[in-house]
Amino acid sequence: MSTEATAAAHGTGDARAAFREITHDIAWVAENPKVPKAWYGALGVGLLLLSIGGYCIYHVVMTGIGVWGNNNSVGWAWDITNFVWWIGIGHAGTLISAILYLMRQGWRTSINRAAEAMTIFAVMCAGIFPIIHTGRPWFAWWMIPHPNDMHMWPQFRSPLMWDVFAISTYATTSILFWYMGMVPDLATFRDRSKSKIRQLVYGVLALGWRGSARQWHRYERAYLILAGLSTPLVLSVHSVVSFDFATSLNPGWHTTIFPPYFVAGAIFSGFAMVMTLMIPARYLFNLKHIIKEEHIEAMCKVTLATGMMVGFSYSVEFFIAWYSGNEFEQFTFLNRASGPFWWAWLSMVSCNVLIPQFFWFKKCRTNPWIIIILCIFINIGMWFERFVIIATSLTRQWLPSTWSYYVPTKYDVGVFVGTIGLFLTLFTLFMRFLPSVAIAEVKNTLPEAHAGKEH
Amino acid sequence: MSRLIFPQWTETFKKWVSLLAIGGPVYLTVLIWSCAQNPNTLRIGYQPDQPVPYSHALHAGELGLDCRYCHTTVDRAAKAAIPPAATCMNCHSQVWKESDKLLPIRQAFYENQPVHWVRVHDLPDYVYFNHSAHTTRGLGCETCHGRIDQMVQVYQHAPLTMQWCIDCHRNPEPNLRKPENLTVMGYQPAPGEGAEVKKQYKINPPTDCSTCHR
Amino acid sequence: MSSLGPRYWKSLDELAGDENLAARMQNEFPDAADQTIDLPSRRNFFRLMGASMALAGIAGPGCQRYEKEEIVPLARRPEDQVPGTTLSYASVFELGGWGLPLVVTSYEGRPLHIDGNPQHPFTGDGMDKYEFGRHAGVTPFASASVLNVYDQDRSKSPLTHGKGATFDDFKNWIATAKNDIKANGGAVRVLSEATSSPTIAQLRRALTGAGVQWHEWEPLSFDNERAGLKLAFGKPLRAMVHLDRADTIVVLDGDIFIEHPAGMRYARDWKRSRGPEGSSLGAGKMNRMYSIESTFTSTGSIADHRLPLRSELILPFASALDAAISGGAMPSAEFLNEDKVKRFIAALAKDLNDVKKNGGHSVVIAGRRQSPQVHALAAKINDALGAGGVTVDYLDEEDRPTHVESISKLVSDMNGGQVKYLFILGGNPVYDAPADLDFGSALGKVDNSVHLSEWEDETSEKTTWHVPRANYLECWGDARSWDGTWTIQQPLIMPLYGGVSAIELLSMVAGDDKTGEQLVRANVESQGGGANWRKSVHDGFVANTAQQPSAVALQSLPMTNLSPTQLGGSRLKNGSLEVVYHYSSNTYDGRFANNAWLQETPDFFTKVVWDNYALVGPATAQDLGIGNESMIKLKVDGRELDVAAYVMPGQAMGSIGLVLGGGRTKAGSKGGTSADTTVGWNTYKVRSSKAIDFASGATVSAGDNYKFSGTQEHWDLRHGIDETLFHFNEGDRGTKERMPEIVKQVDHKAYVEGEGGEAWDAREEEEFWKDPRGRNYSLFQEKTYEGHRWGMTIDLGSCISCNACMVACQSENNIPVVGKDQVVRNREMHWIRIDRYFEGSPDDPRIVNQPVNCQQCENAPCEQVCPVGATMHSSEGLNDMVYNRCVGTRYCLNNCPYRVRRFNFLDWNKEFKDARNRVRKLVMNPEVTVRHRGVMEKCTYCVQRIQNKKIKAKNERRDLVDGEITTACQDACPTGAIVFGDLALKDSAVSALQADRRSYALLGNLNTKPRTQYLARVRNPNPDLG
Repeated sequence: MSTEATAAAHGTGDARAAFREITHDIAWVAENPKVPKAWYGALGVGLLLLSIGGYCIYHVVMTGIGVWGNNNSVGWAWDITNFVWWIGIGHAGTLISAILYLMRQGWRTSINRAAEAMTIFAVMCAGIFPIIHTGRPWFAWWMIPHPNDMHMWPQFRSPLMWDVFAISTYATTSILFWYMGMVPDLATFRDRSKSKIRQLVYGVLALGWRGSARQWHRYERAYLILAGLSTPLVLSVHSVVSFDFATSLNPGWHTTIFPPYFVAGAIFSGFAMVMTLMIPARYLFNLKHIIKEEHIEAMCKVTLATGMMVGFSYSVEFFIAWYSGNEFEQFTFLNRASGPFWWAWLSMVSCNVLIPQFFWFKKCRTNPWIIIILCIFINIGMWFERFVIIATSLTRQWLPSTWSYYVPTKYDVGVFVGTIGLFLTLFTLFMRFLPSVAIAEVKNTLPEAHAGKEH
Repeated sequence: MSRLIFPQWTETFKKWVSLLAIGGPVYLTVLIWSCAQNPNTLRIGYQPDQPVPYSHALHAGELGLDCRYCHTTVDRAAKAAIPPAATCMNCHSQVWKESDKLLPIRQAFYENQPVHWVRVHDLPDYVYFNHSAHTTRGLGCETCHGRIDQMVQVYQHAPLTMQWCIDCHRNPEPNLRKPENLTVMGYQPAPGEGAEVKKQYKINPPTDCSTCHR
Repeated sequence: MSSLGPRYWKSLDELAGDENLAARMQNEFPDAADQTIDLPSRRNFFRLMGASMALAGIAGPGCQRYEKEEIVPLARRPEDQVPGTTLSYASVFELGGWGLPLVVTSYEGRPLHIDGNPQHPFTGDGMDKYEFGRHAGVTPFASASVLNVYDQDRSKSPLTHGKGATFDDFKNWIATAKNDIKANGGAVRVLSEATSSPTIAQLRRALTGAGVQWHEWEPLSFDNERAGLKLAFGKPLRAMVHLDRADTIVVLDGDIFIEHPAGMRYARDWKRSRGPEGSSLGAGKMNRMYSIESTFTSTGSIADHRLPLRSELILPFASALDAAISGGAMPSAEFLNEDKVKRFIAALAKDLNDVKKNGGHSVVIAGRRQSPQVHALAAKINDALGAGGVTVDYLDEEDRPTHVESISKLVSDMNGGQVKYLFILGGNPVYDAPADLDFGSALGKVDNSVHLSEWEDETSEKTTWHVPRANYLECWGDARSWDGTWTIQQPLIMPLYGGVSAIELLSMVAGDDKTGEQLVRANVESQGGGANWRKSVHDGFVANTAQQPSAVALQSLPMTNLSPTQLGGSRLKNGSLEVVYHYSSNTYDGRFANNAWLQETPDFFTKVVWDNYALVGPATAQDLGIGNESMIKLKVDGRELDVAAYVMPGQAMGSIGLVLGGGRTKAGSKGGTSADTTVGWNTYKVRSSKAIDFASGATVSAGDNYKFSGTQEHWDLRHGIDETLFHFNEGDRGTKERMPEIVKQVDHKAYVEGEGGEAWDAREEEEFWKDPRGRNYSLFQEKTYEGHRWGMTIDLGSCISCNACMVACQSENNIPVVGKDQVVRNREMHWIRIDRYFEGSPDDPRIVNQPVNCQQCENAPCEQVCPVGATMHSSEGLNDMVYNRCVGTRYCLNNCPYRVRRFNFLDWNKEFKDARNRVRKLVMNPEVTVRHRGVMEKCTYCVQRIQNKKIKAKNERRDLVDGEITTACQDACPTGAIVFGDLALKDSAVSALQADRRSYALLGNLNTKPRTQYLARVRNPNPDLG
């Protein structure tokens, strides 16, 4: 019998073809000698913003926090706003790769790699702020427990200490998870690469992956374990971050709803960011048939759901403020909506509560342009959420004599822009040089992978 | 199809890698903790040259001058007061009046220009140490400064680290002696003397931050 | 409290949102960076390297041997000098011609800190009856004057015709000129500041004997009182008031506590008769104070009743009051028939008469700026009330022309070419002499003019000789306190830049070249009634030299005819407005322009720093169509002035308060070196000799906008949406409900008799945390304290908002000055601030002052959140702040409900790194760490004083005495409103006060358990005015 016949009999011929096709399509992104102009554009913009940020950070460290707009009443402002925002964005990745994996959501496979990458880059951006927002960054390492000749240890009652541990754990786990998932694909890249350098680099990164049955077996195990490990982290990290506010006694911060509220918000913004990045990528590297419409749609639905959770939290906050009968709380929330920062509050509500409602309509869930625009709005709205929480509470404190206002300086803006630059740079490089889609896993979800089962 | 699979010999190499990965941090921590952070390597034994080769061994040791003859304010003020040249001249206007070694002192005295001594026991400026608070509470000079009576050239005897201070503040008894023995060198407190002194003078050294930092 | 409670607001912009605010926002916030960034330098680069290495754990403070440091003992140490300890000396600070007795603390020969002298018979009299130790009180000016000693900008050598010279040059010049001077005495003039120095008086007699003519000029003079009392009693006198014997006090347009030379004593006496429970008046009695004034003064802010009235209307008001009390014809002024004024006069007259009937005593005090007639009327009323000898004594004054007459005469002679030699002893007449005299150009016509002053100022430019003057802490001298006590001024340090004192210069002129010490000593020993020189110097005064009250008999007063505006109503049209000249809380009369501490100390009520302005009442502002912070062009009899307007609640209608002392062009690096770098505006430009205290007929035209920098209402914004969407403004919102909890007040009646059957008690919040079984709801376990438990009480009832505590704290704790553009960004560093809240209607509000420092919470929110443990709780309940451990996360600041933590946003001490500022550094208190950029700081209850006193006591094998440890703010407070002590001692003053039912914790319902507690303010209003 001819091989074709056998193949046909076992129904695997087109399977090989399909696998090869997928491998080719994804690997081609890295191998294609002529890179799309847009990619260079994105990288260029990224590097530009990054250099601006670097310059601003240099001045903050050299001259002092005074170059920012913070003041005696407003100890934190853009610095911590940006920090929380980035951490939030960093959430979708682990959620998609870990929780959806455990829930056997097949559609995740097309986006989880990019989402994880995004997570790691976002956490990197976030990690900058806790360090540079201190008055003496060169002593920031005092927050890490270390033996010394002063009998001094960090003060573990401080939520900032909890942050240090929560975030470093999250970062480590995410990086492991991401890298381990990439190993088989890196091996594929290695095997396809022509040039010596590529072979060497990918070869080392692939850690000598051969694709033997045992390796696959161990791989699956490890992947499952890591997924299990990182699932609680998705919830813990942002809960801990929210403690920074929830454990203080400032009106508007001192609320028990913060942990769930923050986590929901984080996932909300995370998904928005994934879509903002993946939709262009789809077209740029023509992965339309891999990152399919229904995947995007599914994400839109998640966004809609989390968006409504966030909206619910807002209303609960107001209700509790009124219900508590505490004039300080009541004033704080009244002041959010009608005080000096009413515009921030307005943009927050419109972007985070009203905008997502469009996702009720299939048209909005399928038209890439609409989705992108909506998602960008959502990201802006989530930034404002953090800003509103911090600025409105700190500018209208307990004693009216200490009431103040906050105006950012160009260095506040510069540092924020810089982190966006860092993010963009890293992501563009990732899309170009690493397997942006989990090849092996996608193959796994193809019908062909399960061909012959019916026999 | 050419592929980079690690050859056999890397298997042994891998062991070293893992050893380095795990052992390295441990090694560094131990190194930093035990050496880099250790006062013995950092401060103890600091022995700068002084403008005048004044020998405590001679004056405090052989001649048996009391510390307070020169360091007059040690039991009533924060500073132990390095003596003015005038104090030296009390004797050295009679003895060794020709000695070149004492030239700077005579100069200082007659031209009323201060002598620039080099500080040996130097605490950070944000530490407010008060001598009188310790000398009047039954702490001997020797406890912190060592056997001054045997030092030809003074060097730092104790670590003078925050840890070292706090250890004594938490458990002063071993170091306490009857205040009258303040300046006695090589003093061996009688058993229970510390506890007695502690009780008698209601000594409970605070360990608040503001005890030393203001 | 119900929503019917009093309505509080912080500023008018807030109460009535202002339109062009949005516009202002645009140009008002220059990028912080522009002022504050220094471009990356090599040193910065290496600092960064060091930083990154520290991060890598390679370098850093802990890990390397300290750099070589030297110990440099004195070659011959004086007996009393113990290295590292302080010594105190008595001295005196003369301002406006009268001395304030001081105790100056010196550290190894450097004067560092200034307090009032409690042993002095004037300021200290009978103080220990209710206070311990050294709380004589001190004015912010005296307290800050120590900074002048180390001012780098002080002149360092004489100048002749603008060229540098030496003291020998000057001495030679004097020597050559000597005979010429002797020859034509009449052509030799001396222009002196107002002074009460007996030694100067003696030298003056000697000189005038030789034909020299003597002139005096003081921009803020007390001549009117002397003149007025001469009208009333036929001889020149000054009034010495005894507020501790007064049941009712009426102040006619005066600041009797801060501006008045006897202010510190008056404040103390006022406190004594204030109560509320028990006072110098007897059990349960409490004085009642009325203040009728054009601008808010500390007097008005603590008065039980305040009537805003134009200064020029005080005269008709006074005669009306006189008529109401002792019968007689009411002047027919229109405003007197306005309901408010009418009721006020009636009630006031009734009150005064009742007091008299009940055998009590009252006193009426006329303000410095009021005309002699008003002073005479005040004397008449006092006489009618039988105040003489009880609440007011009259002390003899020598008869002399007023300062205006004196300087006018001098200037006309100068212009007439009759002045050959002019010696100007201090002062700065070119800057502050009446504008119409044009002193500057007249000075050009004098061949030889000598100006003695600490700075090369506006006057020094124009004189042929400038001679550096020694600071008063650098030279011998003397002065009299208001009661006449002869007070000695002794030097604490050799003149840092050379320089001679006024008496030394005079003795040069007189031809016998004596040292200051010789002069003062000879004088004391000859005139001092056999006083012992050493003792006098030690005590700071010559014993038994206080003046005895002079016997007086009232004469009939000439009727004074009133001007049209005085007969008119209280509202005025533009063009007939009144301008009233005020001293500045930042520079007094301009002389402190280069004193950064004072410049950055907020004004008592506007809270504005580094500025002066025109105060305009809300109604007036509306009439004129100007808003807060709008520039105005002010026109008074032909002279024009551009100045920024501050719309001040309670400023009398039609009256514009013009603050003096701004716009110096030759003050120095802080106060301005040229016309472009001035601080504020030179308001002397419109002040004429005809209307030296207040002028009428002023015209105001509005200009564009200006931005003040204040320590309250930073960037305070009202947004359109407040008014359009919600029909109330921010002043109400949030403040209305919370203010009654923050500032507690009660009327004396309610306080004594209780409300609704139950006794009034300020403490309900603490109950909030107790469940019925008295257990504590707090999550934190109660801390226990074996030893001391430090605590503080601040009496809202006796805070006169004089800022003395702020300046004293600044000098004690090395608090940096940040400058105007940083204060506007809400980055001022004061550890203790005085919050000011208005209450009531904008045109006639009441003011509440609330000093706030670190409350030293037992459940301190800041302590929980510091990641590195830089702020920890001490075993004595202090909230320790460890600067060298702080990494500057600012989390503690965010979590502090009182917002008393201060962050070093930039390197505030940069200027000290400059080698040229060696001398400036000397003012630093070595007992307190100088904070690094990027660390948090705050009040520590002066922990350095606590530690040193504790150690001292234990060295002496004894326990601490209550009141032995005092904080800097406590020492400075003239009314003893701040009391610090050990709560562990049952009988300590502070324990007693915190047990009082007036005592409450600020924001107590947060269960922060603050160690600082406040005493509710008890007011004593007149029922008829209720």
